[in-house]
Amino acid sequence: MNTLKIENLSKTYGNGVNALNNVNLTISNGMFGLLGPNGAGKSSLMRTLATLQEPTNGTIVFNDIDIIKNPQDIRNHLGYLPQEFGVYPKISAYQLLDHIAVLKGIANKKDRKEQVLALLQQTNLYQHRKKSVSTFSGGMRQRFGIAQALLGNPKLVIVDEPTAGLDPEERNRFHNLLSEIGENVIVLLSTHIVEDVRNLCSKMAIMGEGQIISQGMPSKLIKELEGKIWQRTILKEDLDAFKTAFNVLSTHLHSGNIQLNVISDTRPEKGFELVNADLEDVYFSTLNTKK
Amino acid sequence: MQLIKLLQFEWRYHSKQRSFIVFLVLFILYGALAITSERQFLEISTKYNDAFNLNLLSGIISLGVLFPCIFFSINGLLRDLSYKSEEIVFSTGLTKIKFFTSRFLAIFMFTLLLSSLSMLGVFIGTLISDSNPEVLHTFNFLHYLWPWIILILPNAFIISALLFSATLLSRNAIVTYIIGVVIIGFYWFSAFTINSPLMGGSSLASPEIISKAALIDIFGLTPFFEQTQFLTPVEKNDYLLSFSGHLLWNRMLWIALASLSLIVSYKLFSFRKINSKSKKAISTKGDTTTLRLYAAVKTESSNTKMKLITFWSLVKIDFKSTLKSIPFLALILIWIAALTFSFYYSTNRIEVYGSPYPTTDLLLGFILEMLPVFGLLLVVFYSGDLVWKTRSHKFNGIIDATPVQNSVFFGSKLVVLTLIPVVLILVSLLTGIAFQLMSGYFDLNIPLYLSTFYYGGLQLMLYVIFCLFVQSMVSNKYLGMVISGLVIFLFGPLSGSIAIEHPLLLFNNIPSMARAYSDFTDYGHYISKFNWIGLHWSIFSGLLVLLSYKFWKRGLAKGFKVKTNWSLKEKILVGSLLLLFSTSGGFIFYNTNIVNDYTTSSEAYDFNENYERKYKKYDALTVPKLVSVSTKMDLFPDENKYSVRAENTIENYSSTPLTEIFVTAKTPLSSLQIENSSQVFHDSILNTYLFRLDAPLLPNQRLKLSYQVDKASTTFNIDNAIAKNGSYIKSAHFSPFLGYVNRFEISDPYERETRGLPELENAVITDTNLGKHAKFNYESVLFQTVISTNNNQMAFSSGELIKQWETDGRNYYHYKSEGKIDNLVAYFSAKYQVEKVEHRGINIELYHLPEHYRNVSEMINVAKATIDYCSDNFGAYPHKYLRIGEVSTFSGSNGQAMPGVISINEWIFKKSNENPESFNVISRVLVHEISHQWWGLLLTPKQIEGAMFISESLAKYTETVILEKLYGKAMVNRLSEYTLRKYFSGRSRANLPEPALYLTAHQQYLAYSKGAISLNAIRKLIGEKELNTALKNLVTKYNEGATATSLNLLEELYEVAPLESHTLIDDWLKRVITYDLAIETATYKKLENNTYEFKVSVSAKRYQTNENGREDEININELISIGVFENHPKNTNKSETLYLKSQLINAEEMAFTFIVNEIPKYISIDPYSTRLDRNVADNVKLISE
Repeated sequence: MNTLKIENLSKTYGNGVNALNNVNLTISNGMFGLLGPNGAGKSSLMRTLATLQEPTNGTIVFNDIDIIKNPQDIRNHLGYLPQEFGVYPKISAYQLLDHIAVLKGIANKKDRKEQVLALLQQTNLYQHRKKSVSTFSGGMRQRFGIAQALLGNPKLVIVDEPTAGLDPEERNRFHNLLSEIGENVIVLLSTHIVEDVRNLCSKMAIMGEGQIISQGMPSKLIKELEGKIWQRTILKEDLDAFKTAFNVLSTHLHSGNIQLNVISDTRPEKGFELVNADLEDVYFSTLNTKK
Repeated sequence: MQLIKLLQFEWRYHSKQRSFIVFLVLFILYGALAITSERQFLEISTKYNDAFNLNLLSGIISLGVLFPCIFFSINGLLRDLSYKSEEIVFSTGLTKIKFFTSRFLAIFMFTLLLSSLSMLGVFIGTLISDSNPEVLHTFNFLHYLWPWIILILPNAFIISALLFSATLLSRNAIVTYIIGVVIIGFYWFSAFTINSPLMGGSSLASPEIISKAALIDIFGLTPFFEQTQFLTPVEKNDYLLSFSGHLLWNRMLWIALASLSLIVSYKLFSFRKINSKSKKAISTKGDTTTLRLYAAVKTESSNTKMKLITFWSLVKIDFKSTLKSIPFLALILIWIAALTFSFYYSTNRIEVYGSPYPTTDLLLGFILEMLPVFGLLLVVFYSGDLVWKTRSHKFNGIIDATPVQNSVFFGSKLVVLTLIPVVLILVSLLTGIAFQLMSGYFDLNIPLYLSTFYYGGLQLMLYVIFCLFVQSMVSNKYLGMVISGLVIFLFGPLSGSIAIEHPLLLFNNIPSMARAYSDFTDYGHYISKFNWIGLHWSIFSGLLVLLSYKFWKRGLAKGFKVKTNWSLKEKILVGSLLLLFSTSGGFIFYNTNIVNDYTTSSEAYDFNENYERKYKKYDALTVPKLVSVSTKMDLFPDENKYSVRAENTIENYSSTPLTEIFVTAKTPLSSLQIENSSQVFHDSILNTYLFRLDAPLLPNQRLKLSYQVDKASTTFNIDNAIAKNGSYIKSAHFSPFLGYVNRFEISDPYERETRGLPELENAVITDTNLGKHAKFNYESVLFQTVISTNNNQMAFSSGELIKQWETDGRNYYHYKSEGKIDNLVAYFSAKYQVEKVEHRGINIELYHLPEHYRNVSEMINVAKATIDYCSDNFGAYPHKYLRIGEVSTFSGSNGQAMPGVISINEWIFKKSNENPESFNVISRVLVHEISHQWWGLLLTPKQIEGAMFISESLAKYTETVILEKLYGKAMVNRLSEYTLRKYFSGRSRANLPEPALYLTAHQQYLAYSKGAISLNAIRKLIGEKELNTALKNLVTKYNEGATATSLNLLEELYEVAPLESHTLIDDWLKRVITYDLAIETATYKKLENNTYEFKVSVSAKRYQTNENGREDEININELISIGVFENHPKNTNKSETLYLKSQLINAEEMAFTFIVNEIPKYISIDPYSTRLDRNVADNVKLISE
């Protein structure tokens, strides 16, 4: 069992931006979803975990080893897919994976070949293995990214916004692959898409403005909102009035009108109907309370 | 309107770049320094801010702004690409023309701004300069404006247009860089072929070569040099370039090409930039395979084996991608082309320097000379490229999260970067070897080739480390490139202009081995110095490696952050490196500054000043004359030292008794004794002595004087006279002067004034001066010597060989002169092979290195022919032997003459006569040196003005007649044309007004060049026989002692020459007269009797140069030959001459009519270059019907 303990982690950038603010998390094997709006500090947290930047304060302990002091140690067990990445031109997918496999420490040539080919097959890139990665489409490149993250023997897989730009089918395949791996290792998935977390993660945390606002099992979090989510369809023009009158969680366009979810212990008004809470409501309600 | 807004934006963008400020400061500073540090380029003009020098500086500066222009182009055009704003910019409503114009104008304007401001720096420099006000010219705005219009403005346009177009179309920084390299290549190519003054050339190549090179030079410097090469120093002061001829064509051509490149790039450029490259479809169909399932694989961390595998993989991936990239291949091809060109050009010259065999050291000389420049360009670029590679590809997130140690990352970059110079050197060596094999030259020196990895590679390797260091400190790779490039240039080629001289202050200033090779010693003397300084900077670079490793950027750290966590091991390493660095620095400092007197260039005059102040009072003391010299010379080649003991007899030749003797020793003496005298003082700093005689030495009485010199060549004080092989020690190397040496006084009036020395009397030299006694002459002495050397070497000097023996493993030779010889001897010792022949009772002995056998028989033949001609015409050869000794390249000159002995430089032995087109320089040098046995030695001139006219001009004359006898007129014509150019470029760079030939002091352009032309003219005027009779009479009358003066030569000439020719002889020898002859028109028509009548009109002008250096036109009235030829007279031997006759020319414009039997093709006035005519090209014309 792997454990990752993050305590009092803060990161302030040179320009004064407070990207992480006293973050505390404990994560063990399985998929862990990190949900938050853009700029919440997800990527900062992930980069810090991937030892690409040092925190201003706090500790990160992975399997009892302080990885801020010994970054080398976690790198031996790390699979990291950055939010945005490029590759060298004119090098084929196979060659590049092989190279990264070496860098990750697979000494045996045969082992390397086996694993690289397996990953190429599982990411459905096998028939493109001789093509240069720089010519890949966005989805293919993302699959290449996950393939490289899984090379070697990762115990902590960090994937930053992995499904951005993927079509539904590719996203599905991607999820399957991740959840398989997540049985034995920690997979930390950051996203701003609630659905990803709902589908995949046994545990999750919601981040906002550099802080962890809420964490737990998705089902538990949903349960807490049971009986509090009310829905109503209104006209566009009335939106402002409703927003001032009620605690509006989210709005959706629905055939030209607006469907809005409100959180309230009792029915807020006539016309509102009780609906089943879902993760999105959890997400918005958490963010709202924070404000 | 929008365009102006766009330009305003560009202005703000560029001017805010930190690097722009750096460039700005540097260029203004450079301008100011270039003009204040006179000695850099500007000594070839009399006033250092005159029109000529302002032109030259404009050219150099517009060459310099190439580098910022490369930077502006990359920064200005590729910023959208690197900041990914491209799609936004291109999809705005901005029109193509506005985008194009604003971006181009910005680059052009900034380039122009830099070069213009640099000229402003020049102007400021003239205001703040504390140099001699006498050499400052009055300010003339036109002198700045005109070169700005002709050079700076068009050059800024041309280079910005070319670089802009290249960048716009390629959208790749390295292509811009390559175009920059190509532009420099074009400049270098033409500078190299024309023998540019900026590359140290003393006179330009032939007009044929210039006419081609003038067009190729993008910066227009070649046509500038062409136009100004023969200007007199006075003319240079106010010369404005004439916008015509090659200069006009050059400007038109490049402006047109630059505009064309703009038009083409405008047409081809499109905002729709999406990759349109066709991708190769890679078929992987039918590629069935069993389904593999992903499983974690055991990884290893940080054991040595894994480190090696990782390291190798990183090196492989970077090295392969570099090697396979098209830009890199293009750079390598450019390099091969540049090398092949310089190899080919230097070994196929048909000019009077002859062409050498493609020996390994010759080719390596070029490689080692060009490698630091080209290699550096590569290193600076690729260090930026490779260090920032993962970042610029945004691959660092993945790579940096892998468990690879920083040391492995860093080490792999270091190795890949080191491999770049290695590849470059390897390619160079292969190019050299291929060139040698293809030229049919098979004496390859493979060990010497391989040594280039060390001698050429070390400096580049240290530059790699330096660049790596800079790149790990900065936050942007282009900034890193600019900083490393600037620092390296400032401490390297530009170190002179920032006034830093000491080797300990100049990073990586390892001595170049480019011209440090001799077949006698290989790199011999220079190896140890190279090793020490190399070691010193290698240790320093070790520190840089450690620092760059500590600052190695991983993850997202920006800029540099001091890593405080130094481990104990690292601290010990830093400590010991610092210790080693200061030790090697201390050693070098101790040896350059304490053991050997280190003088900066400003201190160089201190010796002269002190010498004059303290000892001027002994100026009037009589200098006793040497009457016999007996030396014991012991050479210890293996230890690089020699020891000489001299026992001399001196005589008081004057009519008054001698009471004191003042001695000036150039080389410190170990001991000095004078018989019957006591030493009054010895100044061990200036190396002077004063002796008081116990009893006055009466006239014609003699005394014994003895001294000993022990001299060694050391690492930091190299003396090339003594070497492991090929020692060549001239008596002047160690003999003390027996008096106050006037030429040690500072002659520069301004330097004298600033040091508070009295003004030197500017004596007007007249005939009466020549009658005076000369203080230091080459006396006739009875000479004997015993030379000893290693038993694997042979040694010789002047004199008959009396005895030869071997004791204690050393060879001894006893030489003794038969009668008196000039006290001007040298001692040779080397592992020689000897070729001996007897000719007319004279033993000709040729001492040469065994491997230099190719020209031996040619040399023997030329020696015989020279002895024949000179003995028959000038008097009997004075010795029973003629020893020709090969000496190493470090002796400096082609050859020298001592009594019965001549030295010939090894580079002459390595010239090739295999190409019938090439000039026989071997014969030329041999004839010249052998003829000195008559001119200079048998006839010893008094050491006073005109001495060189006797020794050198007559030797040049002999050279001309014998070469004509041996090889025909064509070869001599080529020589004369070259000699003419040497004369005019020599006077153009002279810093004193030109005296008449017979009063020549040390002006080589007079003694060698004007003398050769004028004596050849006298030969044509009065006849070779008559001239030789005069010379023979001179030799007969003055062969005892050093008494002959140029007046005696004139007397003998008047004696044999008809009276009517005396005026012309005076014109040529006693006045400064130049000509401007030209064929204006030439036409012919066929006559009935199958003959051809042709008409020619000529123009003829004559000028006299007065004492102020101004030329005035004077009347002409003399016979000048006009000839008709089938071929160009340069290629004409006598058989092809159709008509040749002297015509009386007595007016500025004249017409002649001739009748010849064949269709005339070329007509020429003064076809054999007997007149000093600045422009000989218009002396020949192709005749039209």
